[in-house]
Amino acid sequence: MAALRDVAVVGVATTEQLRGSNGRFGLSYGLEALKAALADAGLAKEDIQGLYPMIDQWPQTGAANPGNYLSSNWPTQLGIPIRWFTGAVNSGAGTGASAILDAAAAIAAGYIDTAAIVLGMAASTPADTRTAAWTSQAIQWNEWTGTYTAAQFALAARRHMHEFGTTAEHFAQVSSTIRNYGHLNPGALMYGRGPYSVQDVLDAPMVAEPLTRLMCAQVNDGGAAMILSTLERARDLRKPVVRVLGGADQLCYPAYAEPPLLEHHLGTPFSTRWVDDGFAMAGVTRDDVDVVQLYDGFASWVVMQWELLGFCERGEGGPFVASGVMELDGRYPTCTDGGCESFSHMGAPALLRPLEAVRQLRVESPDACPGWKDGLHSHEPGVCRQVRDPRIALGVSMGPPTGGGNFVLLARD
Amino acid sequence: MALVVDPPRHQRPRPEPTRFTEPFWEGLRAGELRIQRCLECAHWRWTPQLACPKCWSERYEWVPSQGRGELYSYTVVHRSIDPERFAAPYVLAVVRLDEGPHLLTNLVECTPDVIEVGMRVVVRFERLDDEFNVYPFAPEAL
Repeated sequence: MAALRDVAVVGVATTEQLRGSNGRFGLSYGLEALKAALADAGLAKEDIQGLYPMIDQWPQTGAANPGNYLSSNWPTQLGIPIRWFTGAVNSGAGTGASAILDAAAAIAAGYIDTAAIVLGMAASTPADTRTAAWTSQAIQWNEWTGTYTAAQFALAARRHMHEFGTTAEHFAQVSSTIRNYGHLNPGALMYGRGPYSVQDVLDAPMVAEPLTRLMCAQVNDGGAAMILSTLERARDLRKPVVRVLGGADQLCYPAYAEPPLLEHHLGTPFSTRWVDDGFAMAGVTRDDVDVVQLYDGFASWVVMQWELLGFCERGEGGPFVASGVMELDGRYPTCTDGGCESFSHMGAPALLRPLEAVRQLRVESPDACPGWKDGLHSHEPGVCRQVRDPRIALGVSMGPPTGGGNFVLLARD
Repeated sequence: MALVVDPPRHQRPRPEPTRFTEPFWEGLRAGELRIQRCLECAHWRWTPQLACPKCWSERYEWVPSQGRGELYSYTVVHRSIDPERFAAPYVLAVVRLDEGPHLLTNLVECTPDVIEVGMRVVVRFERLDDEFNVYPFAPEAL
């Protein structure tokens, strides 16, 4: 086999993120985003050789299951052959950091030159008083309890509070910070809905103690896409080059099926060596990271990710976030687009965190700075959400309480 | 153990056992909380798995748990998964059985103000219909 090639992100796009879908299919949002990402890169559909798709429904079948059925319809729909289709990749139903790493591996090894990740969801917004369909699964020893995603995370959150003295205020700090970025982002579902104080987050209606509504992601519809290619090709394309340095992935438990234990969230039953391995292969340390996109489906999970990823000691995630580390003038500005909580959570938004990492590295952040279109930012908290001159970004796609997870490290060329 | 036949607060979904999980539900019908134990290495496991995660043996037995343990964690759920089927507030809990495994369950027969992580709890059998019982837990009598 030939020498490994370097890999870059060459195109990204998101559609409007919205509540309710006006009858559109998720595929429609995915196609809109894919076209926009190709245009962003300056590539044509014929350039795509590898595909990592996630949609919630094929119009031909109406099946709610996005899984394997009709996966081979993609070449027919897109009018191009697909030469690399690994399908089931971990964590986030196939479009997150694990998809980026899989695509990068295929490109580096020379199986393909260019891959597309496409995500389109139009069935996430609940149609009635039930929680969104994907928040629970028909598992016989769980279903009778009335469990769903927020309650699962609440159980781990309560245990974290019990063992380490973490407080609801710590969780509220996370959501206040992230939602205030989204308040500044015209692309965010919750644009202009803030700002939110810590007290506002605590005072929101309770969902499952200790999590209030503002500590949980809302659910919505929308699309997103990302194009990856060789570094060599990237340097001939339109946009600032963002290199894929590396990352790691570890699958430990099926989402929702197991009792949600704090030990699983923090990775203790298995080794957390995978995290260190990911930093080592990327050739960077936590100290090198300038901007972080964690998976903020629930505020308590953000606190735990800092611990799992080794940015602070186990049990110290609460005081860590309370120190203001996630703010624009903090050490690791985090979820700078508003995250799952304010930008978008379309049921399986795993691509969106790494995608925002790319936009930060490119300095493409719409906000309240008058010159943002020209990349001119004040870096004033409350006005700006663009990190000053970032070189290295971390993107996480860890969603369900699986005890596993994944992340990717990206760098401006 | 006594069968709890209070009028159910919830319209709980009916389980759909497979031939592999049927002995678990059969146990509940008989007033037993049966958990898998490995016949090679004696490891207790939950959730049900065909092979032991420790030694990969497929030889196991369904053993009645004593149905006692401690409250590992809980959450008072205010936003019901489905208001037409589950009446909020209800308490979701994880119990660590004395035999070792953790179970997801409901905590019943108590008000939220007396719940504490670490408290002793005991299984109740709640009738779902003619065929099924489910297995919430309640605080042990002091």
